[in-house]
Amino acid sequence: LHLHQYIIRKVPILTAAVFILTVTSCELSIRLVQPSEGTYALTLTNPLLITRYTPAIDRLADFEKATKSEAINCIIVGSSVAEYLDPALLEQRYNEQSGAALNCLNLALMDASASSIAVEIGLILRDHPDVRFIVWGVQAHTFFSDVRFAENSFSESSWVQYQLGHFSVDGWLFDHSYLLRASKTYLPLLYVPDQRVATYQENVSERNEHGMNAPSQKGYSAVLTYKDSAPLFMPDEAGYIHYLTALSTPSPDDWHAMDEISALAQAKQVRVIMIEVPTAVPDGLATGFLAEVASYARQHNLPFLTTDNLRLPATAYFDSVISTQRGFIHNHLHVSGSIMFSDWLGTYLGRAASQGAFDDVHSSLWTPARQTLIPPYNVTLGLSPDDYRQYQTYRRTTFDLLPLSTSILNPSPAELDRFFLQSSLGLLFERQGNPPIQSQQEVFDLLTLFSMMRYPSELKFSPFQQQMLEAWRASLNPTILKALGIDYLLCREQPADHPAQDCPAGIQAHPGYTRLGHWKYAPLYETYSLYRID
Amino acid sequence: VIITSAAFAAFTLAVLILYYALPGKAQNYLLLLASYVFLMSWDIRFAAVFLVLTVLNYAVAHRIAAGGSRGRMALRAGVLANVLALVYFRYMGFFLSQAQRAFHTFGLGAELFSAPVWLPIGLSFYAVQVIAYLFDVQKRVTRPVRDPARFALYMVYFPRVLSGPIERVQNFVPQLERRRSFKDHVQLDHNFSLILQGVVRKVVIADMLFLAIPPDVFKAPRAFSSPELLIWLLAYAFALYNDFAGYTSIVRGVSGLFGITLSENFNAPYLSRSFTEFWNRWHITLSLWLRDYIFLPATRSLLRHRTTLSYKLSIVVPPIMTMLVSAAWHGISWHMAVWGGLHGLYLVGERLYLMRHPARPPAQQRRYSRFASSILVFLLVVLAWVPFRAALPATLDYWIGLFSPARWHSYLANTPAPIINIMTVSSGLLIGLSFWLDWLQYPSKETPLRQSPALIKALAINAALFAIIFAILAHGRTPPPFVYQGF
Repeated sequence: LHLHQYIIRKVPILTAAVFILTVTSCELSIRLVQPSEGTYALTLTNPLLITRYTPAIDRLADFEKATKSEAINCIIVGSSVAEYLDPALLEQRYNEQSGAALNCLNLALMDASASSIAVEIGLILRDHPDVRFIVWGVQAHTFFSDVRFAENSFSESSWVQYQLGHFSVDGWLFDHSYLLRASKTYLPLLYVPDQRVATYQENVSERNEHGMNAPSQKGYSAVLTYKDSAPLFMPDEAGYIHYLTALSTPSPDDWHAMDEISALAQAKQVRVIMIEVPTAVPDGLATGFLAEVASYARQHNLPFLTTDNLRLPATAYFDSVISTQRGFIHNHLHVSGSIMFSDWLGTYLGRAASQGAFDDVHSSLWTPARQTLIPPYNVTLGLSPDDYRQYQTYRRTTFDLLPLSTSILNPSPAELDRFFLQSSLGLLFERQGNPPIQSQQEVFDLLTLFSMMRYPSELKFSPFQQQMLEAWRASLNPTILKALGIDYLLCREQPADHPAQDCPAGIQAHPGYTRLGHWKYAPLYETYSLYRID
Repeated sequence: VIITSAAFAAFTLAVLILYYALPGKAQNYLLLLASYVFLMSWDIRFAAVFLVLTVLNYAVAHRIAAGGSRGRMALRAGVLANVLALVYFRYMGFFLSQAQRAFHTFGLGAELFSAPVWLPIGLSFYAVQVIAYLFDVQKRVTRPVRDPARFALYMVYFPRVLSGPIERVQNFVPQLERRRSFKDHVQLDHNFSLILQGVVRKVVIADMLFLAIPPDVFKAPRAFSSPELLIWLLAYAFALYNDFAGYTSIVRGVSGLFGITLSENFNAPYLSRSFTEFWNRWHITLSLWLRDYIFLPATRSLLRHRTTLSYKLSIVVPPIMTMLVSAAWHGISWHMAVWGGLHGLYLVGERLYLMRHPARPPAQQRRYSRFASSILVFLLVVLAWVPFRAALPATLDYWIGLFSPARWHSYLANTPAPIINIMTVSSGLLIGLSFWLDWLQYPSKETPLRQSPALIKALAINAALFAIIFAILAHGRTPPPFVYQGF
């Protein structure tokens, strides 16, 4: 029997017929029950659902909706650090400085690394030639994809890549078959609880544990107002993102995303500005890395606005996110920080536009001089006015661990900003869920101790005294500290994945030191111990 | 290239089209070329290692065939060279880690050694196959293969190079001596049926079970309740079986399309009524190798002494030794040694029992007795999979979790979360499907539904195709590789 005779025998033909009949009838059924265009984004056939990357699904749907009622010509992209940029304020200040009219929308995506941003920009520019101006907020972590995050499945999705012109059979099938979309989206959820979904859910529940109420109730008078016409930028007031990101090495995909964005910008004649979103405690590692990013971006004709000279008050931020591997710390802007920075950014970009700096990526305008932004509200260390008053009373009347006039040495070489430490603790205290992470007394004790602690640089030691301090670090001899006039020590202990201790090891067991107390410092997952020097 | 991938299917199809257009000898060259291309698709260094070993073994076999003391020397050298290659690539990591630990204990530098980081894929299968060949040449069971291309193809034939079956030269090489031509639809039916069965076993049963098993159950069994430990151990037993049996079925089907028959490797092992029968049904080609080159020589060598002690030793030592060698082949580690030792003890126990209670022919055995034997063998084999999969401390925890009355009592007393959920139910269904496939195959019906009407066949094929598509979509991520692929 020849092959062609075999193929036309009954079994292969019947097999193919049954297969085609089954698949076609399922495909037709799904197409028949497909909801109307208006709710398309929420239906089971939305091809983006397979990525399970909720921020992209929501934001791109928001964008489609917004473009139906108004002409959007500017978008803000980036990860969660850019979510808190206010597009209304930015475009208003930009217009005042440059006379150009922008209509911006914030499309920042939580957890998005550079490769996801490149994909997002690609998808938007493909269908919306009106978009001419893109502000891309970056931080060091932008270039370190975390494999746990669903954003990777967005940027790597065969359908998304197919939409961007990278052909694949899988992408083509997914584009043309609603049956495949529905199956691929829902079957895994029916069978194996997807790790990526679980991770996202963990993050969501983590942030919900720290539920955050309206800022006006939390010690700040500043409240964001939004344009009625484009109320799509909603700062995440219902959530408090405080999770550890696992960063490893810069991802090549994220690094090359700059090439892709630069090529897109040139091909579509779109202005893309990279903005370093400020952080409360800039660290050398992140700053050095961002300098490399800036240099690479400028080589590819992308203006990069460096903000490491820009200082915002600690209360401009509402949290700190510390990576587990590289130790980058970044912060999300609080509402007040959002106002301050968006105002400054709009003004600065407008000025840059009026001075023609967009075409000169090496202009000194892209590296602003040192300046400090002033908060438009009264400082309450992140506490509500009532709690702040209670704290002041507690400090004066109840605190009895040691006299208030005592100065405590904190030998930490990091010398984290005292005000930042206090405000982060205050903000967390106000937003902690039930059960509370820390009691009021613990928080007030720690706030008081922070107010009394002094770093070595603040004690203005002479070179000889500094040598004595080094000798103490090596020997742990308490008489050295006594000789320096120090009676108490506040020791910072970093998390388990950062085992470094700021006080010399062995202090706890040393007979010359008595531990008076031990406190969790939840905002940075650290602990502090207070020792009396005997 | 993974053999369940579209790339492998496309590669096979391209080779097939060329293959049937070529004359006999050229077919072998094409398969040889395709085999090396396949190896290089994994890593070009793998091809280099296999090429060197093939040249070496070809020369050694001819030297052995010359006979005399030089032949015996050549045999020893050849076996040693293959064993050393295996030890170097496969086991050096274990030895170095042990040495490192010892050095560390004595306060010496711990970073003195670094293990080779790559293992030529399928080297373990290659080594045992070629060692058998060298012995067979020496014993004149077979003559050395004269044609270098045929010998090279025997060594690296791409459908079986990853994980066997371990072929005897006398079964394989004669098939290369004639031109293979497309025979008839029976050949296609049979081989496609094997491939389809294999893909269902691998993609539907094994991968789905592997994904259902919680990742930590063999690492931290204390975190799981006793019923969960039982369920996931059963799931693992069937996942492992279907993974390897699925692979074998696929490669036998693919090879059959080229007109080359590969040996059967599995035959419903979990339906065995004795441990001896289990090893005649599980990884059959390795079991036969172990029988012929370890078990029988060890037994003969002991019986040669004709003393009571050596007779008694011949009951105990060869099974344990054989199973320890089998364990070492699977991987040198203490937990694997426990697995091998346990199976050795099972075999010894069975032999001692049979010495007092000789087995009746199956037809004379009572049905419940056969059933009870099958259940007992199945449970003991499943228990032994714990050290096969888990490290020693976790193995002990796992066994304690399974057998501790306190754990069962605490589970039952504390109104636990129901263990009946989608994962356990689907795992149960998949295990049922595995049994059903075995039942269809048992004892030797390889192409189920062969006599059924065309529509039934078409519906069955469609059911299999939809199950495969469902499983691929439900995985939602890269499926696990074949377990034996790393050997």
